[in-house]
Amino acid sequence: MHILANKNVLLENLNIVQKSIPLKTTISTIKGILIIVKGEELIMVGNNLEMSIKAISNDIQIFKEGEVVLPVEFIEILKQAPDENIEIKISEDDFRTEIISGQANFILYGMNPEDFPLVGFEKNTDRERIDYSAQELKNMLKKITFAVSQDDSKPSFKGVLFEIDEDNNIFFIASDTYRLAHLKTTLNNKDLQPLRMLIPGKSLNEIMKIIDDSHDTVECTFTGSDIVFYYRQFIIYSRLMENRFPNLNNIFPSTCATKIKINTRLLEKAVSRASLLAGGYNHMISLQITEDALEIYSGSEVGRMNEKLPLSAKEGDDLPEIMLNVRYFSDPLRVIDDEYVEIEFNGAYGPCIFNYQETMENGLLNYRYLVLPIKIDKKDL
Amino acid sequence: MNKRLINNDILLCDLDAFFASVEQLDNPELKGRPVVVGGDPDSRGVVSTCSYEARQYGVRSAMPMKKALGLCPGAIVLPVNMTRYKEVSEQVIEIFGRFTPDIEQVSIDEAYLAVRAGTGLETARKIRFAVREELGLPLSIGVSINKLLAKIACSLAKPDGIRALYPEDVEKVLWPLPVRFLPGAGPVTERKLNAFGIKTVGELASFPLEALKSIAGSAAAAAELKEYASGRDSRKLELNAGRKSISEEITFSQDIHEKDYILTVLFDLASEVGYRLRSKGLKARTVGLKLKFPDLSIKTRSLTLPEATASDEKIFKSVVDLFTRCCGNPPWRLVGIRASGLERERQLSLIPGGDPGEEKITPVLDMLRQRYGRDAVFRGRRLLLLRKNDFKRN
Repeated sequence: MHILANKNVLLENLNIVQKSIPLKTTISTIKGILIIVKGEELIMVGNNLEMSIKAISNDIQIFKEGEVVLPVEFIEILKQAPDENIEIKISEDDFRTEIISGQANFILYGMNPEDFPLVGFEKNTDRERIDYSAQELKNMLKKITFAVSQDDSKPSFKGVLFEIDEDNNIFFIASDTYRLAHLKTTLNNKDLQPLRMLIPGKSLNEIMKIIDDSHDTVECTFTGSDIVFYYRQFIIYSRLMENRFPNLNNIFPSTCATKIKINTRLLEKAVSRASLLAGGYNHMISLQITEDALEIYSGSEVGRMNEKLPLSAKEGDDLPEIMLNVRYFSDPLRVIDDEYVEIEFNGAYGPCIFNYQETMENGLLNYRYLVLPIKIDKKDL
Repeated sequence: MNKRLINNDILLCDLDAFFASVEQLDNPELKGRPVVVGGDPDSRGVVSTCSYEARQYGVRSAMPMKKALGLCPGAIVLPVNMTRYKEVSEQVIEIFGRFTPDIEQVSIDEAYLAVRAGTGLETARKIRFAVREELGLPLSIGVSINKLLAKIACSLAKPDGIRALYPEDVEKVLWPLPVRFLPGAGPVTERKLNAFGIKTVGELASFPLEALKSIAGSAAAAAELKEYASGRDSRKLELNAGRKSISEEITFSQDIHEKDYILTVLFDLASEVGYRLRSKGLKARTVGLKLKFPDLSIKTRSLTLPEATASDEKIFKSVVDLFTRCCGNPPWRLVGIRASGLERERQLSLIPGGDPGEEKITPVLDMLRQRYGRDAVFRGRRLLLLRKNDFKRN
């Protein structure tokens, strides 16, 4: 293999591929980047065994085809290379790789590409497929992925449940057991088989970072064991998780004790101020709803605050006092793009629910977010 | 450690026959009569505390209730009413708090206080007067400059007295005492020391350190004994600044080699810590394990849980995890569990996190325990401890 390339062209792709290179692993080949030069293309692949990213570059001068696995140091070498032009030469028998940029010469000890676990990136007609615009997919994912659990002791909650029902409704659901984000859309243009699959939250988080707010298409194709996203020059593969996500379909109560409508940005900012003094491991704030106002309190060892916000509508009872984790309460506010938000309460210990709707290219997006409060255990003996 | 504690007088305040005294206080007709608090004599209960009137008949703590009644047939037997004792104990601590903020509560009826140097005896008198006037309880106080001498002074002051024991009195007062007065000299060590002709503290103080090593088991243990015998003690007060942690530990009278036995003790300690957390409505984020070896070296390890807990099971699992990772080499001299990162609030969950069985049974067990005492109901595993019955709680 022998090529000449612009370093920024390579880095643009490497920065994305890098997201799928494992930081810690005992398998030496996957600690590197698979590089394939074939025809007109230079292909780079990373794989952390849960997620694999393939990137294709075209603006490359190719003298000779070939394959190699290069250690991750390759990325930093390119970043610090003195010249825009990078020449890469590989000895086919021992994978020694020479990298030349200006007056700087590097030799990297490459590894055998045959040892690299390559996943199936090929487009395949027997796979189910849904297309979204990048903007649309990003918008949906950012409403869901923050609710995914980070706790290793709850493996099923580290994924996002993706579900298609008989009526072609599509659901994205994520929960860390303390709160739950629930998104429903409809897909009119295609008949899909009903299915339920659990996608690793981490993979979706990376997808969300890779795609931008453009109208470029993201093709999502899937089978029972994996999901693959095609986006520009990138192909992102993710393994699916064993689906042990519990059935939480009936988690939303049909009635509520208190319902308010309030200015979203006003509430978001006030809650952010309250978070400055939210105390304890649970970063607790408390809310109280009277006839025409929502009052927020927080306090810790260093001080306390309160703030009163006007309600634009209220139905049902006053709410004496509810305690909530400030992060769980403020997360949904950041992703609700509407002047007003509707929030339901069910007493001090019942769930608190955010309702929000938005029009998408394919129809209506229904978003519901549920958070459970914090209970103070009274001295019980 | 608090700087103020350097050059202080140390007081050890010990409520005399505390449980029995509270009962006599609440039921004045029991005054002057032999009162025995403890388990049911018909179900192999043991004496928890007995009044001084009962002690005259030879009744002692930890004695089977049946035997106690044999010695003192007229004894009035009462069940343990821990809630009431705790309440009174808190009132006593409140009185201590008026004289000094530096208090280490050792147990429900015992606390070390640090006061300004030179004011120990005078403060002790005031405290004893206040406790008697306001609560009607007898209190013994030992006054000195360190924990060891204060403790010994207190045992000499009992019942219902004050006694000072300063370093200059060590030769005259401490040395004639039998070695068992020293902490760290349990029955086993005492027997060994006696076998070498060491009966009094004075004899121990003059015994060569080298020779003591083989008796005490290690150089460190020998050195500690020598220090104590000379009336020296560098242990600091462990102040309870608010409630930052809850801990339980056991020093074994004999070093323990069996891992299984240690695990059983850990289960017992975990239930104790769990019970204390629950009775205060608290949960702990962090669980710590403490191990002490025969050379007196101490290992402590802790881990932070994803969710705060007050479950015996979860605390036990965490300490077993810690023990597996850092148990060191046997034998062990002490094991302890510490729960910290305490919180009262609980984030509700969509999925019940704990074991539903445990969550149902725990309040029932706690209630039984609170009403009928520690040994009213327990895991079969605890029988191993009761059978051995050779360890003392710190």
